[in-house]
Amino acid sequence: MDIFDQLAPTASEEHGSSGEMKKAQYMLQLLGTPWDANTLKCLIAAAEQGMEMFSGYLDVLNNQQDTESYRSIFEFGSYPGLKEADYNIAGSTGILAFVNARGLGFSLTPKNVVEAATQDFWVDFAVTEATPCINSLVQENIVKPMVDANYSQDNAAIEQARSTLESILTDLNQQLTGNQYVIGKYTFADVHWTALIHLLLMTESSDLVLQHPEINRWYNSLATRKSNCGQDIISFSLLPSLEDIKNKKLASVIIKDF
Amino acid sequence: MGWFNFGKKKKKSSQEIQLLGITGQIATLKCLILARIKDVPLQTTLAPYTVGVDQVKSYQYLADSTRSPTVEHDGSKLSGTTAILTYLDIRGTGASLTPRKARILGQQNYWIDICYQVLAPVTAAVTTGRATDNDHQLLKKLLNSLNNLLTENLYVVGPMSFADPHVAAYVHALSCSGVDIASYPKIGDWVARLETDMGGPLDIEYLQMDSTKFSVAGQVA
Repeated sequence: MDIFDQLAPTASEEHGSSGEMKKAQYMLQLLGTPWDANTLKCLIAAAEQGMEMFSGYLDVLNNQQDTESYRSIFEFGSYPGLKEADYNIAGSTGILAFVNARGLGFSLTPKNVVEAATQDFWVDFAVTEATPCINSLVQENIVKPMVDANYSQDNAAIEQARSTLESILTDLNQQLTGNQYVIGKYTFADVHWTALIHLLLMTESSDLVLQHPEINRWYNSLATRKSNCGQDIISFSLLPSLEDIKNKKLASVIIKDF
Repeated sequence: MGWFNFGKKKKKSSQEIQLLGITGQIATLKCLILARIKDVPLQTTLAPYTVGVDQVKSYQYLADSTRSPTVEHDGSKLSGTTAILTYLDIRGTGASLTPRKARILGQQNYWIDICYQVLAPVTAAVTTGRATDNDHQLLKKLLNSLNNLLTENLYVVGPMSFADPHVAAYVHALSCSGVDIASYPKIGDWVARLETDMGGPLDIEYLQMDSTKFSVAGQVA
């Protein structure tokens, strides 16, 4: 039994160990944390592509990613980690591509070269510029107070992140003006920004999002958007609440309407 | 933002793609390597070292707020390594570098992730002479892992993929900074293979790297 089976056991009786093989029965296992945008992106992508995925909490607060049981699988300790039978992959970039290619829905990467490159730019923009700021706010407002109830927030770090995010979100709001999704159609750019905006809304800087009507329109529309694969699941519904984060609880992707 | 006035349809154009980059910037080097692999002619303009080089991010801002690297084609622009590589791959000759098999695709992206999260910070530390013992140990572990991988594979994940120009750019920067790549013979073989595919050396003429001139972005070298 490896660390995946310990932390994210599969419901083998119900899903895949008996009966005919279905594509969604490859049974993915994910290890990550509910406050990590990269983990949330994997949940969203799996739901969008109709891939069942059993999630488990990786205790990074106690450096579980550096333990022998994890490093024996992923030598550099990167996370989130994914297992499918004898295959393991770590990091959201790899996991998203794998789930997308394995899944039931049409690809989340556009075939048109201009659309694909536009998507890549908005993913890059999310990863390069927005992610460090939102990570900082999540750490200051949520994670560090979880670890230490007497933690005193680093107001300079918060102000720096807020200041940078103001212009980033103005750009995103402008991009969404006239577009239903980030580049028009639903792509990986939406997966990345959904995870980031969701986490930002749970910090004390949610006002940064609320002042942008197009971001709110887009984000709220995701709450009722059915999955890309056409199955009866809404990826948005799997995102953790603040309580879930504090309880270190991650949702699993369960597909019921095969 | 990064895109302006791109048409919706892929159009064949005789106009050369223009690349704006920075001398010694790894993000720029990745674009140049891929362009050579895919035989895409580029008209390249490089800002000098004096703007400072960020070796970790996939793009950085120049003084006039443009991003480097940026490509311009038919009067339109796109920025950032990820988008530029996607664009050059499709515009170039031969099959796409995106692997078709899900597991290989995942491995490709895993190594790209490792490049940004692990290899990039270590390379930045080594090329600026600020590497700690931990950095050197991590670098050795990375190069050993890569060397072992290339014992089994011709390219980083088996077939040529986007992982190759990503990894190659760091390996070249490290080599220019005095890291003994010859100690990793399979990496050396792979570099030679890539250079054959590129029709020339990684040490691209107008992007020769000089570790004594590397600096942190925002500081003058």
